[in-house]
Amino acid sequence: MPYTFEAAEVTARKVRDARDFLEVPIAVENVSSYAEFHMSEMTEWEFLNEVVERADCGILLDVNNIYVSSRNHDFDPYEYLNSIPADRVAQIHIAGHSKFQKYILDTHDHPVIDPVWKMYEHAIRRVGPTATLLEWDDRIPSFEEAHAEALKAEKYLHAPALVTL
Amino acid sequence: MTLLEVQRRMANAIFQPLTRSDRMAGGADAEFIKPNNRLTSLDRLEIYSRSYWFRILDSLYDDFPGLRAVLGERAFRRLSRAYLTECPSRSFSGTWVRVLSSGWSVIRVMEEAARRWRLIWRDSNGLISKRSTMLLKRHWRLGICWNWVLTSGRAFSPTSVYLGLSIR
Repeated sequence: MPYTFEAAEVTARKVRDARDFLEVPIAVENVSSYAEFHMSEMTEWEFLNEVVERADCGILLDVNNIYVSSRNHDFDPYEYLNSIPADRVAQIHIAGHSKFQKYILDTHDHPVIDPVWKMYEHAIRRVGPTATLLEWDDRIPSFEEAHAEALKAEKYLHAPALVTL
Repeated sequence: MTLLEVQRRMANAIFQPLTRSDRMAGGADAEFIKPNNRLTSLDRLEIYSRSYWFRILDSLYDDFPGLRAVLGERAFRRLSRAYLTECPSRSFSGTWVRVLSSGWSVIRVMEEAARRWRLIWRDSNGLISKRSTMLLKRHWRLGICWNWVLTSGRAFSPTSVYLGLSIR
C-alpha cells in the first residue's frame, strides 16, 4: 500500500468500522515491506502514526518487521521505534527472518537475531513491560528450543525506562 | 493515479501465475514501484507475487491430502497450478478458497473421490490389480480428469474418477 493521506484515511475508516462492528478494541500491526511506491507521501512510521491517530486504535508493534523493512529500504530502525506513540502499543511481536542476497524476508523460521533483540530492548525501555509474542511458524524447532527463545524476552522485559526530556 | 488504481494494478500483477521457474512474467506491470540500488521494480513486486503463490499453493497442499496421495506429488503440483490459473483466488489473505465457485466444487469432489478410492483400495486388501494402479499413474494427464469431472454428472463415484484418470 502506498503511504498517502488518502490511504491513511481509508485504512483508519476500516479500522473504525471493524472496531464499531465488533465492539472490541483493535490494534494494528506494522508490516514487513519489500516495495516502495512512487506515489507515497510519507515514511512508513509517519503513515502508521496517521492511521492510529485517525482511528484512535492501538499498535501491535512488530520489532522484527521494522528491522526487515529498515534493511530493505535503508532507513534507521531506531528512528522508526522512537516515533511510535508509546501509550498506544498493546503488544510486541518478535521473530526470525531469512537473509537473501539482495533483501531479507520475514519468514518466522529462525531464531531472533541480536540486532532485533537490541531493538526489542529499546522498545521495552520506551513503552514499558509489554505482552510479547515470539512468532515461529515454519521450520518449527523442538518445544524446548522455541521456549528457550521465548524466555530470552524475560531478560529485557524489566529494562529501565528511557527518560525523555 | 488513485489508491484504488494502484491497488488494482498491484493485485492484477501479483495474481498472474508464476512461470515454470517460479518467476514473474517479464512484462508484468511494476512501474508504480520504486526500484532501489539492489532490486528493480519488478524484482520488488516479484517478492510479493512469489509469497502470495507459495502461500496459496501450500494452502492447497495442506487441504487435499487424499488427492495428493492418489496423484502423487508431481501431478498434484501441476493440478494445483492449473486449478489456480483457471479459478484464481479472490482472497487477499492468501488462501485458495473460493467457496460456492464451480472450481471449488470440482476440486472438493475430486478430493472426496480420492479419499473414497483410497478406502476402496484399503478394503479390497490390494485386490485392485497392480496393472490398474500402474494405469492410474501412467495415464494421469492433467486436464483429462479435470475436463471429465466438469462434464460428468456422476463425479462422486470413485470408480468413475478412476476411469477418468485412466482413460487417455
